[in-house]
Amino acid sequence: MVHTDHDLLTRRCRLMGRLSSLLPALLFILTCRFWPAIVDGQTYLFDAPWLPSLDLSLRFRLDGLSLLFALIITGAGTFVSLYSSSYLGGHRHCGRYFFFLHAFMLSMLGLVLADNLLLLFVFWEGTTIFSFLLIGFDHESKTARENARQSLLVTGGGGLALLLGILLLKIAGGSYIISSWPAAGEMVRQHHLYPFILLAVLLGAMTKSAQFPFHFWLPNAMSAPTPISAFLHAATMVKAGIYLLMRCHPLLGGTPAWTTALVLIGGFTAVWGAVQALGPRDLKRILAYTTIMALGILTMFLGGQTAPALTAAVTFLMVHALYKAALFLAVGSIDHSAGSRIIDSLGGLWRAMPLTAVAVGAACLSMAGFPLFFGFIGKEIMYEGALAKEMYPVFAVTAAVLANALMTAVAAIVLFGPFFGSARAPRQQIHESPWTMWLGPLVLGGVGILFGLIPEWVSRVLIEPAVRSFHPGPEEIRLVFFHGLNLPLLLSLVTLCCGATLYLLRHRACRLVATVVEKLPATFEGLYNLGLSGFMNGAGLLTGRLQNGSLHFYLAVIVSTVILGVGWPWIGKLSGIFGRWPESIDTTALALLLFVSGSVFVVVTARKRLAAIGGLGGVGAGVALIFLLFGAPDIAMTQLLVETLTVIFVSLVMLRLPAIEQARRRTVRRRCLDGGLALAGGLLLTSLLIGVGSEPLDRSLTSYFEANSYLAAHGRNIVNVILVDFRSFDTLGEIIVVVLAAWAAVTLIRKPMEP
Amino acid sequence: MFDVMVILPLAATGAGAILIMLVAAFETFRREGISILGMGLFAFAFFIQLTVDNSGDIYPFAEVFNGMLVANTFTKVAGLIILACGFFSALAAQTYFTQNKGFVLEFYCMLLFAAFGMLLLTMVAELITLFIALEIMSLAVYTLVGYDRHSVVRAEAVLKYLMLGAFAGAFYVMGAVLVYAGTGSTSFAAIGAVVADSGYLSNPALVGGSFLILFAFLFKAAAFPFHAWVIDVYDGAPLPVTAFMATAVKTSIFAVLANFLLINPEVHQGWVTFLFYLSILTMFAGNLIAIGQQNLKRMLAASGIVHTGYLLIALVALGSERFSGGAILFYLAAYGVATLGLFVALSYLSGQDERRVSFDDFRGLAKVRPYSAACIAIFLLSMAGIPPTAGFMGKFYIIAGAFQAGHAVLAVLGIVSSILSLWYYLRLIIVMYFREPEQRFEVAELTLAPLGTIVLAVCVFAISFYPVVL
Repeated sequence: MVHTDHDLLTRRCRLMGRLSSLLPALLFILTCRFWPAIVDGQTYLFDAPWLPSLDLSLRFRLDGLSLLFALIITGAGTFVSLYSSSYLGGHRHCGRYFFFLHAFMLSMLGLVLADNLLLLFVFWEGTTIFSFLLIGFDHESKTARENARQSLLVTGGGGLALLLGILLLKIAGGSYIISSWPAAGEMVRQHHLYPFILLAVLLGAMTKSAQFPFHFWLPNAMSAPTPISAFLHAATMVKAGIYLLMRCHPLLGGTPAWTTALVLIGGFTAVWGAVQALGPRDLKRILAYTTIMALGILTMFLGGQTAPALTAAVTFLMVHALYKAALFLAVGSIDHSAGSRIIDSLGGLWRAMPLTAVAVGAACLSMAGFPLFFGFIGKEIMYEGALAKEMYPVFAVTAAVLANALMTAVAAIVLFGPFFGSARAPRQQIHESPWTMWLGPLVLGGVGILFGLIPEWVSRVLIEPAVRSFHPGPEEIRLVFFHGLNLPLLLSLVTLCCGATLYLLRHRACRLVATVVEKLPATFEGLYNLGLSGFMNGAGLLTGRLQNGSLHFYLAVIVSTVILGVGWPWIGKLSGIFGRWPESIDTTALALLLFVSGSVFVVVTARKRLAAIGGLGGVGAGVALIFLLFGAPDIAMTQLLVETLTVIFVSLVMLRLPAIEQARRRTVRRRCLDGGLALAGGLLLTSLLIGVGSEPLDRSLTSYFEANSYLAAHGRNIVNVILVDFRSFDTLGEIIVVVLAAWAAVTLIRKPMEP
Repeated sequence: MFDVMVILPLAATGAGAILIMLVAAFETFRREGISILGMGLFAFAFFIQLTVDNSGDIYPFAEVFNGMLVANTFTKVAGLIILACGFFSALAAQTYFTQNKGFVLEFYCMLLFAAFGMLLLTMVAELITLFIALEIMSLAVYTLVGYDRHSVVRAEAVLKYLMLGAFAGAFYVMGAVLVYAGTGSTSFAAIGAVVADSGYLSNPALVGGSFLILFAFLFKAAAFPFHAWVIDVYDGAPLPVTAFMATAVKTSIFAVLANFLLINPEVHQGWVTFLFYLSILTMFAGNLIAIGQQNLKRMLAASGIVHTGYLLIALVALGSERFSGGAILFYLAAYGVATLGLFVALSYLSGQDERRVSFDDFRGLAKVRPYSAACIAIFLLSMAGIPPTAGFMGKFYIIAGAFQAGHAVLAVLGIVSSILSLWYYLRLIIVMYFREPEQRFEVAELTLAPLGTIVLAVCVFAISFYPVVL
């Protein structure tokens, strides 16, 4: 039974995958229909209002750059979903997987097509969330969940930094509409907020595109299923940051800050990523580090201003998308067939998996930048761009040569490691994977060769429109098959030689890198983990301290805040206020005051409930007498009645409770604190009242009621008139309050209904 | 006639409460009937409120009420939010009490009285009426929290709420007295005139009094450091009551605060620095507390503190160009929809005697009840402020407002806080979707809550795409 179920699932999964790969395929064809017009220099716009009050409109734009990205996204998407239909086998959550995959693809398409920056942000967050869901797809593994969370926190945080940048941009006078940027560029760059905008946008791009020091999430994201790594973490999502930098180039680019930041960050990321690629033994992790290197190179060249530098960025973007997606998919095939992707336990696979071997060969040669391959063209233009004078040529060239040499060595390791050498497992056990799985790598690798042979065509129909859409300039943009004998070619040769040497020394180099990386005293991933655990501990501590459930503590916090909040403005004025202390106090009043204070003392210190309630009654009666003394007999009457009732009710309730003696006595320290708090509160209110009382009394209301109560309301008793006429609405409200209180009591006494 | 229309929703809720009280006394209706009656009354009041055109300031029965009440678009929308919260809380209660003990026929009466107090609170323009409205609302809510006297948890919750609430009430009265002493009037407009004339800080009684009033409101809105009660009380109250407290009470409190501050820009100036720091502390304290919680109700209570922090940001930015009360109401509506949605969903998912309330209890919900899980996920994403939900729009508008008012720091911290909040919202989503189910989440027959949940989930997007309030 179990077996049949699995077969059924496998079949369903395969069908789902193949059918759903029609979606990206159709979108790819649709995009191709716009292609010729884009090459002619046209731009398509689509605009629909959404939230005019937020300046948010559904505005899409298709130009050369968007076209290039859209082709990569839909093209890679087709192969990846086709591939997944076999890779996933009979996974239980197949439907969810394809839903996430296509939802991600649509978000990514939306991101590169959006013409409104806010809309772009909406899609940006969409890609972050679907990436999170896809990395954590294998949700039973704790590592996968933790890695998913890490990528979400890092890229999500960067996304919010980007939102900040967008809002700042608006303040600096920039528009949300990307099409209108070239005109506003100068103004924004002059604005005093420019450094902050740049920083925020850079943070967004750096986290998304895994630039140092935020690069650590990318290797960890490799716990995603391999096709996902190929699609999100090599070909598309990590390029979103690069896309953003390209889009922002006309608006924010060209300043020394921009160039310096991008060149330095990118160069360093490229070299550091490439060095670290030598460390791991897991093929996927190796590829992840080479992706970091590629993203670093792209960032570095986007720092440039001239056509060669920017052309290098766009060209290398394509080169990388082609070979890296192919390599990831092929590694997935190896894992699928041979059951491992640890390089040391693989070997001699080329006999068993010839088609995959061919695909990997093509991709690796492109990655290493051998002539005839697209990678070579990319490398030539890269060196040409690095030699431009605003790029800090010495730094850029060194970084590029180092990174590329390391890349060549890594390419050789990835190619020769698994496919050549002695076989580690009997041949019969390993088979070539199904066509859906080798087709993708083979086509992508093949395109790498094809583009290497016809670079002029590629540059005319793809590279040039893309570069022109963010760098409109008169300079010529052209890729050629052979540049002639010049400095870039020399550098290419140097790169290849260095790479070959490194490959020969690979065992020593790998061990060295692994040791160095392990010995690093502080990594940014460690910092992230430290921050995370510190945060959790802090949260626990705070909750335990502040949220201890003690009513006494809550009350103490509230009262002391009130005292501080209300009292701080005139702590300094206290002496002035007490200077206005009335000169003579009536002896009767003084006696009443003493009586009330004594009653309060009884309430606080009583060890019997009845005594405490009696004391409370004493306080009430004393207050009523004070009213009487100062000429308000009606209020005194009311107060006395209410007080009597209260005492009766309170004693009825309180006497049913356990005696106070059984309760734990508060410690002396706590009693002192409570007493201090009470005194401070009393002092505050006294000083406030003295302050108020020393001013002449405003009699306007009194005279108003005296004058109007008979004329307007035909009543002689002013208090009554106020209650039932001038403020009758409030009286109604008070009646409701009384009814509510009574009803609350009734509800409490009655037996509740059973469900 | 028009004045009658303006206060008709108010009258309808009050009269409806009395009607239910009478009906309950005769015990002719049973639970079902009275639930429908309660929901019907809320819906009725809602539609009247919807039809009244309150553009411009209207002082209903100005002669009789002496300008105690004021109605405008702001109060109209606030009232609509409150009545909608009442309706959905009543709906949640209908379902909740099929599986939980402790129903009394007067439940809906108290709910309507509380709504009456809240509606009044949104419309008051005067300190004494404000106090009465506050008391009507508070007393009704105390009763709602604690009427199940057999439950120790509820008794503890209501005791804490009552004690601390009594202090807040006392602060308010002292504050009102001092403000009256300082300005010679209790009407918002007259206070505003005095302050505009003689200044705010030069008047110690006014400063002291207004701060006391502010503290009373901050207590009700659960801002730091007056937030401690909220966790225990929300946890102890029955689910529908928690839903009502979390949404409607907050709406009315912020409505009256915004009303007061819009009339008194000088007072606002005097409070700005204080509110600035308070909003930061509130957001972060709320986040830190929420992260540590294992219980959903407590987590939602703590996250409610964070949302109070956002609303305080909005108060700080109040009155700047292009930014008025509308953003506060929009945020309240967005927050209200998501919170109510969660509680309505919990009202049928939590089962007999609220036995499923911790994160782990919802393991694998997506497998067993995919629609409920999807709705809950939508509500959580909206609370976390993920586009394109209503929560994102609300947060965006508030943060943009803070920027425009020149409080970039506040905006940045608001964004940071929203990253932190992802932590606990996503946690539930992960638990629902990425774990294997262990329970069957059976639900009682004849309940309206699942329908209400879906309606609210649609509302999350509807509000986002058609933000009529703005």
